[in-house]
Amino acid sequence: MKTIALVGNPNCGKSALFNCLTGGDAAVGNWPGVTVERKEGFSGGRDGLRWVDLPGVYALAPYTPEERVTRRFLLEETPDIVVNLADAASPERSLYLTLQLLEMDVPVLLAWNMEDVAERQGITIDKDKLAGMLGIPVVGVSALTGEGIPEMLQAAEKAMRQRRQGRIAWSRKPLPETLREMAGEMERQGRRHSLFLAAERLEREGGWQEEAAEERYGYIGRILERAVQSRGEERDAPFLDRLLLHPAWGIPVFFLAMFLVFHLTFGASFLGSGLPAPGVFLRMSAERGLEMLAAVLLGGMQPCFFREFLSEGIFGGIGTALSFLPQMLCLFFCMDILEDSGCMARAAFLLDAPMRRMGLSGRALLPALTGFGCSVPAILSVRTLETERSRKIMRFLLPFFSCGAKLPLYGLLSAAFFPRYADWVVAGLYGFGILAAVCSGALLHKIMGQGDGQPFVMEMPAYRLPRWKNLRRSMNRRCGDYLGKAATVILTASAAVWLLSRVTPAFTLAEGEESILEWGGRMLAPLFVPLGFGGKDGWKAVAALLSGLLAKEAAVSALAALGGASGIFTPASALSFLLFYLLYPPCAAATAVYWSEEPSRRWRICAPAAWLGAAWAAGALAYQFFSGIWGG
Amino acid sequence: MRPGERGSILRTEGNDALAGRLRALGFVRGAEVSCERLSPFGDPMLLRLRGFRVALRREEGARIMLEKGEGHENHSVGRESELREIRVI
Repeated sequence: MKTIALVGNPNCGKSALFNCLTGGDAAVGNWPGVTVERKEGFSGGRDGLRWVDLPGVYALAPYTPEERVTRRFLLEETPDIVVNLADAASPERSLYLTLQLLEMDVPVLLAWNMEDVAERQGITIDKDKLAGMLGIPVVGVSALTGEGIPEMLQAAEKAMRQRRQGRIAWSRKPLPETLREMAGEMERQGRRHSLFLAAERLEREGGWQEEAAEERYGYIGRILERAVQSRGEERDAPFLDRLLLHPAWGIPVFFLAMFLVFHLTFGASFLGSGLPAPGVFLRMSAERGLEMLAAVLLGGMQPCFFREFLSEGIFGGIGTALSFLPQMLCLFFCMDILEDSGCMARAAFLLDAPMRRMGLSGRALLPALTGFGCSVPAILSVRTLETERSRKIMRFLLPFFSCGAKLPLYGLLSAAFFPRYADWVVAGLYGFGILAAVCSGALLHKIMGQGDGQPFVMEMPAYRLPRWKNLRRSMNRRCGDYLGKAATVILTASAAVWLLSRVTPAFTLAEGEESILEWGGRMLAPLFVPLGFGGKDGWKAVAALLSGLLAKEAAVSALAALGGASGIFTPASALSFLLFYLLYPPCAAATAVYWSEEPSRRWRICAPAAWLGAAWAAGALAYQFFSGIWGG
Repeated sequence: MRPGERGSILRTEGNDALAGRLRALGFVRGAEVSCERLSPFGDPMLLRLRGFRVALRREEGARIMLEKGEGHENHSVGRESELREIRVI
């Protein structure tokens, strides 16, 4: 089977093309650096092709983690051809990478993406002329519609059959003697990519980089003059930037947009109309539907232990978790729109200065936003940050960004105890998580001493209309993940919690006596007295928190299996419970990823303890404060 | 640089990862760069270069030296102050 490597600048549409080719569902975003690791997929059935989607890079240097992944794959895994996807709207910068690829001993195909956008900006590329000058096939494709893909595959098939020697066409001067010696020596040793490796070493160790970069861009200038027509530069949606990047209004507009998203998802009275917001409406409908389903399925059964188990342990637990699925999808639908349109990249630009206070940069906004979805990919995407110091800080902060799985519990308790202000409470919880992250980030930055600042060099993507295809794909993925988890971890946890609450430590059915769960919960409950749930039913709260360590949604199903939240909490203790739940260690999967990503043993041990400590302190403070005001 | 200013690059200094990255993006001798706007905190800047836009902090911009204009002192992209004319006595 032939292997094709997909290489290109960040945010040029590689993942979209990859999805188009392989039918995969790789995450796509209007944001440089969405792909961190390589992804593989197949196309064309029996004697098909193996596609490898590599992280976007501007050059094949071994500096950033993305560059290392891409460079190593090209050098060590010998793909049969490299498909270089390039953004037709910025041909000059795209060709820099192309020139580096041409130095390698591998067939290369240059594919221009988004030619329609480029044409609207007055840029037309003469592909035949370019092919003649570069000596490789050049085609145009649309990663969005799939247009041009058959032609691209045909050209790739043809190019793959030929061997290609790396060459340097861009230097006007004769190549340095040392370069030719080094390349010749490597070639005698039988090493592939000798020219590329020699040039790279000379750039890095011989101080040749500045001259090489100038020569490459000089050459690009000369070929563009002949093969590309450009009618002036058109500013990209300047009216939108005038608002979103306004010195005074930019940040308030961003926060207003974020609040609107929460209002749309959790508002009890949408825009003051008295009607529930779309997100709330969806949840209520799902709840009713699931209740009806349970009634139909269990209607004919005689009351017995097993029926109770099914209705409370299984349907109660899973049903509650599932009823929040539409509301969760509603929130992420809005977030995806903001990301896909390019608004989030603007937010990174606006918020870079405050993030620097934490030893981070605007780029850290990407893991943070991913963290609102799920901590697992968020912790992985921390790799895109440039320094290990900032990666350490960000990895530690990520659990404070409420992941989607925490949402059901926020929704449940805020609707039960603060019905009129549910959207404010949920937005407040998210805000408090961010505040906690900001404070602990600043603290860590201070404790860790002066480190090298994180550089911030980020390409600003153009605005574009959110693509329905991307949104749908992302919804499908989230939906599938959630259902998968509901059928496994949540189901098991909720059934286990229910059973443990019905069986005594002596393994007999609890008829009014103490169950295993109650016994365990009571052991731990004294620790939670300052948080306001150490009383008679406090053990239920503790049990919910324990099952939340398996999967965050399991806390909701545990509460449901134990008879609902209303009897357990007062408004003040509900709030302290929410805060504890917000900050305490993430689910087992996220903690495991944290442990595998964090190289320092001290951090691996201290971080969970610190999360727990922060959670306890925040919960206790909130309870002491609000129980004083609201009277318990 | 301040919004509205433009200049031609003289050279990008250094031989480390950052310099390599800046050069790969096209910050090399002769390239035209202009400043479109600043973030609300005055830093980073939004620059236009070779038909695309890139956000850059002043700290990194200090690496990129701009061509000396007539009557102007030598300056970098990261420079915060407005251009001052040198008075010749």
